[in-house]
Amino acid sequence: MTESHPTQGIDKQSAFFMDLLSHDILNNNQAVLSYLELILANPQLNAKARDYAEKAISHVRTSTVLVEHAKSLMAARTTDPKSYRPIDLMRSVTLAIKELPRFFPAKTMKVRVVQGPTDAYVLGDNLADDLVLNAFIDIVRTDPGDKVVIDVRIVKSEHGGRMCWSLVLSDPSAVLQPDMKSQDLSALLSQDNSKMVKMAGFLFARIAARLLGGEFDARELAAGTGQGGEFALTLVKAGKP
Amino acid sequence: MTSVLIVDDELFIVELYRDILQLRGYKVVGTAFDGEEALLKYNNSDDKPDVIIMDHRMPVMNGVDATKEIMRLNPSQKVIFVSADVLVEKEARDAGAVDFLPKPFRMDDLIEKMEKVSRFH
Repeated sequence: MTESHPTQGIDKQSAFFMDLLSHDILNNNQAVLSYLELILANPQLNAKARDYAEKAISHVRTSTVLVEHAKSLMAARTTDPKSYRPIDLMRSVTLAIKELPRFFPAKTMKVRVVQGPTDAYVLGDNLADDLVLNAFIDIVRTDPGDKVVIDVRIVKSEHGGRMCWSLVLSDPSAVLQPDMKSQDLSALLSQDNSKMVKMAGFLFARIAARLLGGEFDARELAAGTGQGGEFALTLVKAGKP
Repeated sequence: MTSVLIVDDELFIVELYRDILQLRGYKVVGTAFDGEEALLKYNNSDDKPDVIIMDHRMPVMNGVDATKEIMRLNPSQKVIFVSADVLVEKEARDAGAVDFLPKPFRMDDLIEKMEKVSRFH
């Protein structure tokens, strides 16, 4: 007889509630988003009101991403990483760059692909796409300025004895929170809720990357200066599908 | 004018579609709150809608089953599937949906799909 894992029932119940909750939140986000778009479609709308509506849209999008993250993590907990299909990392980067302005309508962003090989395939399925977009959102969030410049590099790496590809995003104006530099996930997860909520995107990336056998790191561009930041998303190398 | 039947179990989503579509010049000819009601209304209508906007997760009969039934009655019916469940896309297309739009979508994405589908009706 196979012994069931003690958390299996809880996971199933959590997945059920997560599914119900996320479905309703996404429906409500849909309505808020569309009505804001209808307001913005009015050419006579004054600049201030337009600015408010755009900011509201940005927050609705963030809320949607958080829901998607929670759903992805729940799914990843019950999936064998080996069953994930390979993802073209450069393709994910291109998609993320296209999506990024929707999350930060008030910022001007310049993304420079410094090193972007076309043969960088990683194990990760749609979760890898989510992770890449999340990495971009995270680095923009750490930059307090209105004009953001991000350098993108995809480099070969090694993690846990496995060949990997790392997506490295650098921003010379980023200001990292000290907790981000810690490698200790359980310490991050044991913080008070308000701190955790502020780092939800970062925590999602680290948990999801580790579920895929990879890592998500944050480091200062010049150690000890507190200025400039770099996020590295490392995922296990896969063959071309 | 392209006619549309809206099928979704959430009243506020039905109203949202109606607001968007009417503003963009589409004619909403009917609404239904589950797959069975959609099927019944579809069966009883003399003028079939050009396009059906179909949700998936609904009581009584879900969107995939309703689409299958509607396609059995009229294989050329255009159904645009709109759902927060992205995993259901393949099932929806296999059932006969011509397009799939994940929620939440941008208004322009919905209109673009409506225009694309309308061109062929």
